[in-house]
Amino acid sequence: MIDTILKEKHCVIKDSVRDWKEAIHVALEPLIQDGCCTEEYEKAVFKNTEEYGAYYVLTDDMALIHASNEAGVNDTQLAVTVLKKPVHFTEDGPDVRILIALCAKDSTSHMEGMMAIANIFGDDGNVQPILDAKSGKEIYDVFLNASES
Amino acid sequence: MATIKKIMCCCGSGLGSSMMVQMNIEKALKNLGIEGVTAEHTSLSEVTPKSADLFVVGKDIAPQLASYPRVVVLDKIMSMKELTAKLEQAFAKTEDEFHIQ
Repeated sequence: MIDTILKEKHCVIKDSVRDWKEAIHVALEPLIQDGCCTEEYEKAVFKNTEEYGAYYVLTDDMALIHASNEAGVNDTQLAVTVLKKPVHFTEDGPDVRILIALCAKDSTSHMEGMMAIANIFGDDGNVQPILDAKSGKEIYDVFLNASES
Repeated sequence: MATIKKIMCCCGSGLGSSMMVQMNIEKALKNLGIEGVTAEHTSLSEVTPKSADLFVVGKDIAPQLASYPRVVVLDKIMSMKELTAKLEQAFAKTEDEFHIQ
């Protein structure tokens, strides 16, 4: 079940961010505060962005903010931040409003989360309830339902 | 004809899109009725041309696999439709080497 790697308190709504750098910081903040990963991990995301570009923008609405499982990861956890105003990771990039932060201690323990993400953001997915969410609980419930279906 | 028994999905970290694509490949193969093929995921730093018979990557890292013999490149990493269509093409290929963009 996804509830072992996604907690309701890690699902948050935020008005806006200044730029993509703040978006990464805000997305990872719940996981860093809870000790799931360290600032080292955030640095790795920025370093990888320099090297590979915005590799985590997976759809027009969503970025899966993550690095590899080497630096600064203590636990496998997800956090979801929904922005009321979108952010651009590249000049011509999409209007991203959903930031999913992921840290994984190995290469398989986050599979439940990836399955839910694939269900929500795939061809026949259902992104609107997340974009329209009024509370963290509403965001959380979408992931919970997507994990069960 | 190209025999494909092992498919490797690859992304920068080896955690995010590569795992997503691996799960979608397993689903797509089932839908296409293709059996006896395994799918795995890994990172760019660990992948080698000998890792698998076919490589599936997002277009952002496709240039780094330009020299690989058999590659499927995805425009939309999350799209089952695109993946299924391109896998079907790959399994129908008669050439030994191909890149499907």
